[in-house]
Amino acid sequence: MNLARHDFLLEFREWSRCASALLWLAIGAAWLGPAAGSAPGSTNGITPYGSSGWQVDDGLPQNSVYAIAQTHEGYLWVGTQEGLARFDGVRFAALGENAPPELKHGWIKALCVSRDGSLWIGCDGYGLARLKDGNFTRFSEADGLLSNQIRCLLEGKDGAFWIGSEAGVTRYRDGKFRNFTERNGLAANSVWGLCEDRQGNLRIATIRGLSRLDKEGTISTFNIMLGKAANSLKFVCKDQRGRIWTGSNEGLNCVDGETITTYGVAQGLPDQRVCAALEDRSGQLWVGTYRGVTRLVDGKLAPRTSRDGAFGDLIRTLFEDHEGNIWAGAEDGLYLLTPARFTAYTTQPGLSRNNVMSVYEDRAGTIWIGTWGGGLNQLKGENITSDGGAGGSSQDLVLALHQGRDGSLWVGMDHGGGLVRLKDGARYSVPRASGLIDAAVRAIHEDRQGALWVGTSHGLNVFREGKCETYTVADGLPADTVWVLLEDSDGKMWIGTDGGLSCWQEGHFANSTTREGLSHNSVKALYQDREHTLWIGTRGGGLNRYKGGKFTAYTTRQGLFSDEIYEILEDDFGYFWMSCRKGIFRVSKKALDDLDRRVIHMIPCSAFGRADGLPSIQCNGVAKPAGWKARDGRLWFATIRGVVVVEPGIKTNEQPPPVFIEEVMAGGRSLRPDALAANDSLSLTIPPGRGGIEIHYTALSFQAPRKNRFKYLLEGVDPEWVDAGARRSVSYNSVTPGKHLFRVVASNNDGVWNETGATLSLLFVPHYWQTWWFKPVLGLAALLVLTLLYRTRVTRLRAIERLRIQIAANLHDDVGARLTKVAMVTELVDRETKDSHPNKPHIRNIFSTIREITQAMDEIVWTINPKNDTLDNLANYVFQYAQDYFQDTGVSCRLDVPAQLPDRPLSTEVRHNLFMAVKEALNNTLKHAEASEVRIGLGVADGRMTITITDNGRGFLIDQARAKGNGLENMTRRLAQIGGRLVLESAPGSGTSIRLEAEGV
Amino acid sequence: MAIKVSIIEDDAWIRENLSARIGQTQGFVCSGAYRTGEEAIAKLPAEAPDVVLMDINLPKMNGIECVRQLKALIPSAQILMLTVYEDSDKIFNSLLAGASGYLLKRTPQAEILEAIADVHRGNSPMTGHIARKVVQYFNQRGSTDSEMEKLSNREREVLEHLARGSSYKEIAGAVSVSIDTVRAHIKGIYGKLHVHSRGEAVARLLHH
Repeated sequence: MNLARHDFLLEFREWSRCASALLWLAIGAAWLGPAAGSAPGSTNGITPYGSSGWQVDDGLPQNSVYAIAQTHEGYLWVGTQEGLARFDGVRFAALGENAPPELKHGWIKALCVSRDGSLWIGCDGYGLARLKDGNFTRFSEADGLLSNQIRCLLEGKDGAFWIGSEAGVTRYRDGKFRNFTERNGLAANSVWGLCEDRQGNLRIATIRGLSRLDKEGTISTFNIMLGKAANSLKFVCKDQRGRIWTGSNEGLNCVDGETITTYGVAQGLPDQRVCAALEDRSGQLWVGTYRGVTRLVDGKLAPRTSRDGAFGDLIRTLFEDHEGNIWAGAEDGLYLLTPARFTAYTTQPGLSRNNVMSVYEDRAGTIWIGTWGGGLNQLKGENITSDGGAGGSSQDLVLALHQGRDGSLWVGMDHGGGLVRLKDGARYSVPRASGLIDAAVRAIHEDRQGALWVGTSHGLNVFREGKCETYTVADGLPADTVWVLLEDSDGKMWIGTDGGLSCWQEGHFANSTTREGLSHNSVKALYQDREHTLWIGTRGGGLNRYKGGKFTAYTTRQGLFSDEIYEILEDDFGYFWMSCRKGIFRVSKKALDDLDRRVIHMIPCSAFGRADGLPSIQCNGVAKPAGWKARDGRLWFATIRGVVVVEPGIKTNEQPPPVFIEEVMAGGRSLRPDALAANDSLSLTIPPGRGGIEIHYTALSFQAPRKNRFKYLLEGVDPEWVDAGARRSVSYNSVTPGKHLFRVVASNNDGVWNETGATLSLLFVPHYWQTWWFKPVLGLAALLVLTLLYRTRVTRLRAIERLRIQIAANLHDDVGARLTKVAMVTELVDRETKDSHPNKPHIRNIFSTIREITQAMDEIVWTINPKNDTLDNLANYVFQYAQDYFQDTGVSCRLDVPAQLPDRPLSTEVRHNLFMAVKEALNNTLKHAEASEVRIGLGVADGRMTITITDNGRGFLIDQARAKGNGLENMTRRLAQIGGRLVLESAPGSGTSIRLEAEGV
Repeated sequence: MAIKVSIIEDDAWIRENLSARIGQTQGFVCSGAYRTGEEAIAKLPAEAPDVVLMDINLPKMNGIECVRQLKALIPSAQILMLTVYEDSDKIFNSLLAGASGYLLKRTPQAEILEAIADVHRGNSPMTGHIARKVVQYFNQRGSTDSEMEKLSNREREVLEHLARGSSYKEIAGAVSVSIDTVRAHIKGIYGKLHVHSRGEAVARLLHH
């Protein structure tokens, strides 16, 4: 069907070229000369392919990719000339620490995944390695291999494993090797390719032809062509029909039974040198050559499009993954070949300008393309003509397009260009005098009554029966900027403005804004479906469904690709196609219904970008129509780099992607979950740190890896699922210690979610100071330490105190008592000695000395005994001392001490020094003052103790007193020692007052 | 009639010397001399001494406790404490226990004999710093006392003068009474101290 249509198109193209030339000549007066259009790359009915490529700068170990394989869980393995890497579609991961260095840096020539899930790695010079459950096992010449120069690997249907090397073929089964070489009849020992044919025979591509090894172990050889070069085979593969394909520097060969067909440059191969071939599940044969990839479809080579050259230079290997994506390993990197679903029409070649504002198919089937700066283009078939494109004129700034009922095309221009009508090749400008608003004409529509509605950036014009009416905000329009016009099935006009949606009914505007439930007031797109439901695209609130007077919004929160919608189209397969600044996306109407019914929670949404054939992802949305559904079902969109068209019947990638948590970084260290089982709950212990971790996860869908989307949740940290977009890692700072479950789910490029995802149980080991018991324990420990310290100190102080008490008691009881006794004995002796006895004065001397000693001892005991460390004791002792001291001296001693002194402790030091100072002062008084009365006052106020000793004696000059060495210095020093001071007041004839002050009492 | 004096002193020499001196002195009779308080309690009441000289520091039962017990056995005996130092607390506690005064051991024996005679006459000397203690003691008791136990205003006045260092003569002048009245007040104060002490002793007995 397609072919036929295109053949027709080819003929039509020639015809239309002539026809349009005639047409444009006819209206040349109105139109600048037509630019010759030429067809963009014709696809000949075969879907063109685009590609994505990865090179060293994307993480590939090296650019020469020799082998590709996919393990069961979904990872892709890429073998290069300098090592093997694991690939998830975005990131290349180097092999782990337990991998042999040869695999990390050596020349990987073959990869094969066997049914038990092992990855077999053929490494040049190293031999064979098997990666299973994370462990590597090596097989080399020492183990029975023919050579360490491995070239190809194959697992047979019977479970035997085949190894092709530079020295022959080896079969590995049940732990045993069996070798086949030239001696067994192999065409050559240098083996480049292996495959198993339908009959179960092994086909072996050697440098001297194709050998066949049957089940009995017999080898027969089949020479492909005449000539040595043609027999130097690079690979061998089979197709679904059982045909064997092989290739050499002399082209591609198909062996069908006894028939050989050879394809060369003459048959359309880009290059004679063929290195790889692969039949995909749809039956296309992919062929890798020295100049890129080509395809054989139904025996015909697909034409190379302009984009084909972009993928692959010298192709080394081809691979089809689980999703059916085709991968090419080339000399210049790794390539993913994806169907280029969109065909673009740009200036290369054809369009007058790339910045397409609007696209419209008229009733004749012509696609009109309005460009901003390049005027109007029309596409008929594959032929593009332009009405100018010289630029500079406001007439070249095309915005809106609309075909009137009479067949004329209305063209709305940007500021200054006004409104133009094209009819029968003639061009009419609507005069300013008609009432047309002087602004950008964004939307045009002629209603069924024949009124022409013109939406501009400064209001709405309606041309009705020769009259022009203008409506603005003043007339009830929600905003002056009109984006879109739609006449619904009932004939009502809907106007989308920057301030809301408006409906013209019976002469007035009925407006709907966010107050009425619209998700956003800037309405950029309107569409009414067959069920008469109105769909509203907004500039920031996603899509709205208007049904039964109620708005329902669908936004990125529900999985919509974008909240900004420029245009809404509906295809014939039940999908809405929408354009936005970030590309074109597709949503099934059923999904929206399912969401409303709560059958699903997320809308599967497929987005299309460069890999799908868009020259630029940015669509335009300032004029209508910004997209158009053509009568052939194809959908057109205006983008900033041309107009694109898509055949909408695209199959959705229904495979939910496997999801993995690959790595957890904590405290600068990488922690890899020990196993990579998709559904098993993994657990990881995070050692104490600052609580910051980074989790890397992935989804193994390769159709458009960058379009895989993720949502994650760290239980106990994230209050709800977090939409990570395409991000494949997440960081958390300061996670509280404890067990947290990290869950991640992912969708493939078409928004099909793997809702199970991957789960990782993370046990954040707390710092000991973060554990629940720590604080109480710390408190207890601190308390214990303090108590111990206190006790030790108290014990020490008590010991000292006890010692002091002991000393005091000893002095008192022993020394004092004995001294007393001595005094008594002396007294007795004195009494019994006559006054005339010469010893009498000596005896008296002894007696008085003993009394003095006893007195001194009394003071010492008082000082030492800690029981006396109180203010009251000091006062008492001072009093007692003073009374004793002045007894029988003729000086009366008065004490001015409150009966009740505050119960304050007084350190021995303070007490002693104060007492000594008082003693000194009393001594001075008695010796020098010639007083009849001395008053001792003691008071405490505001933590300061004051002792005053006042006499009524003769007084003195203070300066002189200081010089005399009468103890004043001593007293001052004592006071200073305890942080106090001495105040002396005296004058000759007016007594003396000594004030001793001690702080901190 | 000679004053019967009993001595309780653990130092043999002092004890014997003192008793000898007392025995030799006109008007004094040494009715007994004991080394320990226990011994004194056992034998002393039978002697019915007028004045007891009691060493504060005794082995085992200390002098203060001994005073307390003796006072219960022979309330009429006046007890004078003998002490090496003027330790206010010990002295005051002795007074509380029932002693009527104290003597420093280093006091010349003539003065000791004088003091014995004085206390026998009914005079209880009180020094200033002891008076301070007494003031504090009564202040602390506050209003819990019955009327009988409370100091009279005059007693309090005398005590406060005493506590400020005034001599008996000065007090007599200050409160306009005779010295004998001052002495009587002081005796009253001692009596009230002893009442307290006895009350507490009884309370203690009842308790245990």
